[in-house]
Amino acid sequence: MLKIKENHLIFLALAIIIEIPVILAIVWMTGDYREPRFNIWPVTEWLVNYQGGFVRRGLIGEFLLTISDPISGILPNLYRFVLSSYIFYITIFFAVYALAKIKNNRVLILALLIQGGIYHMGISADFYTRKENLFLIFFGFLCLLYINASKKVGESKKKRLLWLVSLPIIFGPILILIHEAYLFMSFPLTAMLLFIVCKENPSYIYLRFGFVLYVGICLIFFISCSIHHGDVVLAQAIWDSLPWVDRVKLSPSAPYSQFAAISSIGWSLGQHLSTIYGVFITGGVYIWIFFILGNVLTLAVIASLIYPISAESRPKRIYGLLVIGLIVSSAMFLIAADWGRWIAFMSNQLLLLMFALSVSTFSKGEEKSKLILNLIQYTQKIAPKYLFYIVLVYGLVFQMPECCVQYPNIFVFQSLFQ
Amino acid sequence: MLHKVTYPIILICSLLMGCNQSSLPEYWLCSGDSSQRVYDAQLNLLEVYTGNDPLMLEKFGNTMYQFLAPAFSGKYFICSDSSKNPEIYMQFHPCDDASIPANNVNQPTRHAMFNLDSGEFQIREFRTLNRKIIINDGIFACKSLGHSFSFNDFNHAKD
Repeated sequence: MLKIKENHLIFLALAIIIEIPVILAIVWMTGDYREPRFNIWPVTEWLVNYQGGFVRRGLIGEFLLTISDPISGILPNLYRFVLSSYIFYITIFFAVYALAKIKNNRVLILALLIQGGIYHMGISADFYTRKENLFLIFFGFLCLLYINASKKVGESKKKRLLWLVSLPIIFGPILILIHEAYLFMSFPLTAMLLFIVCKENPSYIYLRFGFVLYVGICLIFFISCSIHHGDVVLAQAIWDSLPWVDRVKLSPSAPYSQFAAISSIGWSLGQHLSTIYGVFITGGVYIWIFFILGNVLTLAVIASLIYPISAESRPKRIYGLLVIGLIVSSAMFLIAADWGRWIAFMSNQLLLLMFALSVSTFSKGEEKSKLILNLIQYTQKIAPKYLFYIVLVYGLVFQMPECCVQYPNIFVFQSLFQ
Repeated sequence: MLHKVTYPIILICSLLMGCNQSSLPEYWLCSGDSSQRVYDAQLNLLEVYTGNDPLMLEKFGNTMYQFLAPAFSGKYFICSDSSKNPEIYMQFHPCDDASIPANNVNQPTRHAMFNLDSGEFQIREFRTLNRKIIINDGIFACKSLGHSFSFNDFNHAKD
């Protein structure tokens, strides 16, 4: 009887954790409000197009411009698009979780509540409004394909693995054209997943060939985007190409002048790097360190629930893979100041990888690295008894800012009471 | 073995270079008014847009950045030597860029003068678009923030 009540309670908690953000996102993105639905900077980043010539980040803006009516503007379509991408990501997330057969409510609750995760995306209208949400969707789809392929044998498996290595070769360059930061954010873990696939299937030579091709083609497209990084003349041409109704809404005091992320197309590497200086000089670094530690702790608790460490056997390789994954996908911290975005993206992507690797034979091998083994031993020693509840409270009470201007608001729904 | 020596040396050098105040970015927070006026070919005033958004200048090397006020967002090249003259002259295009002909009015041209002593910042943009003449003007009073700033300042700049 008590067990049934507990299950009901968990089901109710999960339903609330999912429903509240989804309802808020739908109401906010489809309602009739005067002000833009999310920050002007991410809005304008979606609007960069090819009207001034080929330029980095322009692909999706060109698509939105093509499908939009000049009278009603691009913004209504953009809001529907980002909302759809949020719903799509949630679907992919649950599909990966279900197919991986994790079946652990504690894991699911923490994975949903992690800062920058599905719950916080919806209640803050942040994170999913960024282009990297498309990277997450694509990576989640690859994880689905990987889990599915791992359960097959023979020709059926071969066919799925062929898809698994082909899709990144096709869509990796497209995602780089959407935003060149793909190379630093999603490419490392995608390459890692393909590397694991190659290790697990040494007899399929085409996998290794595909892996090398993926790495090569991504680098070529990134270099091409870096060469066409844009300038002020091109930024103005992009701004002028936008429907008038959008320009007035985004910049009512100067609708004829380029602004926000469109204007930043002309930035040099020096300006991007000087924003890192801002992270330290404004004291924001302390806020980010708090959320980095909080999210790493949450990920560690989730990993320990999916892959329990027993006293009898040596820890599995999965822990080493996750640590490597964390390190290789952290390059964005050295390039730009939106550290909340990077923390959120890394956490969500590592969660998907963690779920997917539950079917991996390679990750079940014994960990040999002394450094990782010492790290696990040390973590086990200091891990308090109620760690699950600590990270649960962390997920419920705090609200990680997406970027710098939101530093004062670090508690959930805090901005509503100001 | 070599990397165990090289990396710490690079790190220490970077930190020491960072301690050099002159190499750090410098900030000014400004308040004032901007206006965007649109004329037809006969110079009849067609549209006017005004704003009083805060403006923040970030000087880094010989470039100035401004990304807060919508009317004047962008990167500017400093074309005068601020160590000799308290007035900084800056513009949108590189100072020695010969590829921008003077009569090419379709391309936006922005010029600004910033007096380091008084904190007065004046900026003007001029361009044409589909036979319309667009002129952006702004006059701001700036206060120096030194080598640091707070994002909270952004919300109080209008006060």
